[in-house]
Amino acid sequence: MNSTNQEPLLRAEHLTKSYGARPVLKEAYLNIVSGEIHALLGENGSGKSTLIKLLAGQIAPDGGYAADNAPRVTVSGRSEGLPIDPKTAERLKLGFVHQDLGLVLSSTVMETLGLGRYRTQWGRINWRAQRSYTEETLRRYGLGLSPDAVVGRLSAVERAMLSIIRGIESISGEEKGVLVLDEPTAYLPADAVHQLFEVLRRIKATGSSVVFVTHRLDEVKDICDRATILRSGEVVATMDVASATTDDLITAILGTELTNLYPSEHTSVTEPVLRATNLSGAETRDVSFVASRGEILGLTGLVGDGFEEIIGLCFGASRGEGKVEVKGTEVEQKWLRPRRAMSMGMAYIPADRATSSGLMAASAAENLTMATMRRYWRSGRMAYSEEHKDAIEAMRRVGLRPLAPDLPLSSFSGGNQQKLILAKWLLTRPHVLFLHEPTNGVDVGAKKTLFDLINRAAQDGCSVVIASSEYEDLAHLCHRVIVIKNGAVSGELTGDQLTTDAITHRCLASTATPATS
Amino acid sequence: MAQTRIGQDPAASPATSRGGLVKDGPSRPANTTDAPLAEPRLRRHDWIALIGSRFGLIITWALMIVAFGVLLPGVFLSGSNLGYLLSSQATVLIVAIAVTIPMAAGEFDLSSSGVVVITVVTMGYLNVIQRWPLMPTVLVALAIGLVVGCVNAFFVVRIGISSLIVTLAMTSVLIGFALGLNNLTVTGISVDLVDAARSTVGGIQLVFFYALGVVVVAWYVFQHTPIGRSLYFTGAGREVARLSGVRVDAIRAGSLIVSSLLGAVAAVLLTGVLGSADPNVGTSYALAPFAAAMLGSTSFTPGRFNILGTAVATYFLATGITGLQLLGLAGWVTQVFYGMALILGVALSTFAARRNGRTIRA
Repeated sequence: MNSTNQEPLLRAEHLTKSYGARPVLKEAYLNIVSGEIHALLGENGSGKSTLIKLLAGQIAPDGGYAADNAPRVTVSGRSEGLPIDPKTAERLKLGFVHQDLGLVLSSTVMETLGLGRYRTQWGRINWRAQRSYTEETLRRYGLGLSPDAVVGRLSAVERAMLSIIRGIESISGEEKGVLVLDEPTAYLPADAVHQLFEVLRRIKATGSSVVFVTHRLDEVKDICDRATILRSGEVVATMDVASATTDDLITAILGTELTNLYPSEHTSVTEPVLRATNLSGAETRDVSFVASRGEILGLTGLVGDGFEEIIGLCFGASRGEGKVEVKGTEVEQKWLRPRRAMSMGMAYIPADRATSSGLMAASAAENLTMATMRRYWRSGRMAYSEEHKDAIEAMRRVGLRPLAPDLPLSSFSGGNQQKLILAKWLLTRPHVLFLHEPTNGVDVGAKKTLFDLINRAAQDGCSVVIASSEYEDLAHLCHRVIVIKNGAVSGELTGDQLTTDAITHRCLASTATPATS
Repeated sequence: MAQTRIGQDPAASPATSRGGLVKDGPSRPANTTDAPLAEPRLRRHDWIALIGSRFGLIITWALMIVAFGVLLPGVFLSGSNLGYLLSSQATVLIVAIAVTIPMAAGEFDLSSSGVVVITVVTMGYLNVIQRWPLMPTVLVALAIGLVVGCVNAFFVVRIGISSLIVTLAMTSVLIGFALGLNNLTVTGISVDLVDAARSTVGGIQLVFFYALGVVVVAWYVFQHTPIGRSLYFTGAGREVARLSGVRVDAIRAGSLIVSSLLGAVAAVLLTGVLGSADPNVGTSYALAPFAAAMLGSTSFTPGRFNILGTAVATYFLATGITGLQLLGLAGWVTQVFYGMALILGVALSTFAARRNGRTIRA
């Protein structure tokens, strides 16, 4: 800790938490100086979320400690024992934006921003003052929303911005505060991330500070001053970001050096497997492309431009128009259903694990064989022992831990859940594998495994189509990337052109130029 | 229908970990650390919790039987009482199995009591008043169940209305029609049907063995066929199931149709047991099956609707009521008991679901 000779703005110490017999946080601490943006880094399961929840008072720390090393948080010299309640957090000027955003979907923008801080007059809400406050706030953050807009109707980006603004507003005022952002950029497109960073820099300029939880190391390099790194529940390092390289950060997070995050072996491709013709849906029109055997094809663009919709259309997950052809079998999109798509040799992994791709309550084995369960239906009953054996085999192949097919999916970490879902679809031996944001909320270690698995699938002859806004991942993983803009194909990058910068440029540039319409 | 997702993130629920209690059994969240994890080993108190959660219902049932046996010596455990207990609940058991099927698929079928009433009344009307022979009467009765199920399925699956609303309204429609058809008790049902339902084997009426057959078939389908798996997948995560190639709409529609059909089967048997057609039979079938299904979902495979659980819970509830009635409590105790059991059942299954990070719809 080289730059901290002054008393920190926020100091949290003796943070210890166990679930059952298993420690999740061991004497962790956090020191935030005034006017900094501080990254909190670590793999999934390293205790980041637990630390944030302890700070927010959502969970109670382990008890039974002597008074002088009891878990506590100190902000601007005022000290409170944990857990704290929301009122205390507000008094300490501690603001939180949690990963799930914590918005009420049926309320309006005005109600959302007013929650807990209504302008009242003799006990009744002064709606006029409330409205002008809301309008002024929205303008200040450059968010073109109506105060009466219903939150549920907003786009994902607008919702995220709204939640972040609410968090910022909760710590605004004379005194300095600390805003804690738990993976705020996970669902934001590049331009919104830039917008968010501008706002964060403004907070920093006032002397308040930001704690920033993220998986994206390029963002850390971009905006953070210092970083605290958690590994297996312990703080392993606090470093100045400016003097650390990305490799240094990765090494600190993993505890080992990670060589070759992106495997570079690419097989050459020729034989077309998937042919999509004139696909149109809610956000896209007339998109046509071909994917070949062994190819890893990326579909990208800015969120909202429609690139995410295309793979769902190919799989028949949503309704649209156009034609989809796999290995010579052609189907009108409007007649295509997931079941049909599967019989044609397609597999589709949606981005939203909890609601679309994995059954959290079902066991690992049940999840694994969900798409292939008919295989175990023989002579009038399910062959359980065989299913169990195959499940263990599949789990071993993708390096899943723990190797317990009977545990519910919810017991596995985010990265392991994603591996398991990938394994589930690989069991169908697909010709075409569609992936939507495959590395969402997945830690660096699991990401490498996922990339290896994707590469191996491609080498085995599968045609992989990835819809993602992680330009860096696409640049390294894909043989070819198609950029979608305003619902139509706007360009294609291959070979030497295929760099993170080129993709970013292609995606952003197309919006910078005003549309001809 | 409100769907509550409970305990997706076990780390978010502080109540489960206070003071190192036994509360987080075999499926302790394993996502909180990335330290090398061995196969999770169960400690001794975990085993106790596991057995408690799986077989708690059966253990409580056994204790209850022993308690009533002691309190009512020579009466409660007598052969005639046990025979009566098994026989009298057989039709309730069939309806309880019937409603468990759509519940497993995430849909409610509240119309079962309505189906029972309209079928019973129709049986009386056709067989006694119109002097139809038995076979056509039974076929019409079963057709009614089939049609009601199809109408339910159409509105729930095709039109997309909540099954809670559709089947609640359907109950009212069916009972209304039944009263319009005939609002008096009709006696003199075909002797063949009465014999088929009421002849006894070892002091137990045949109707119990039919119910047992339904239980075995339903259990087999739930436990040992892809259809059972699909039912569960559809109920636990419809979108996941759909995207994994499960025909969720067919499953939902099918479950509602089978439910109504089984309701009609139960009603035909009930007419035989009673030997008469009473338009007021519906009340026994309005709540008890749901209480049994909910309570049953807390045992054997806690957090999932399961046939064995429903079957045991049906008799668990009946044992309690019979015992209390034999102790001298009046008929009102039935209503109170079933109502309380339903609330308790939902509370316990919510608890079981939370502990296992599972989803329950209620």
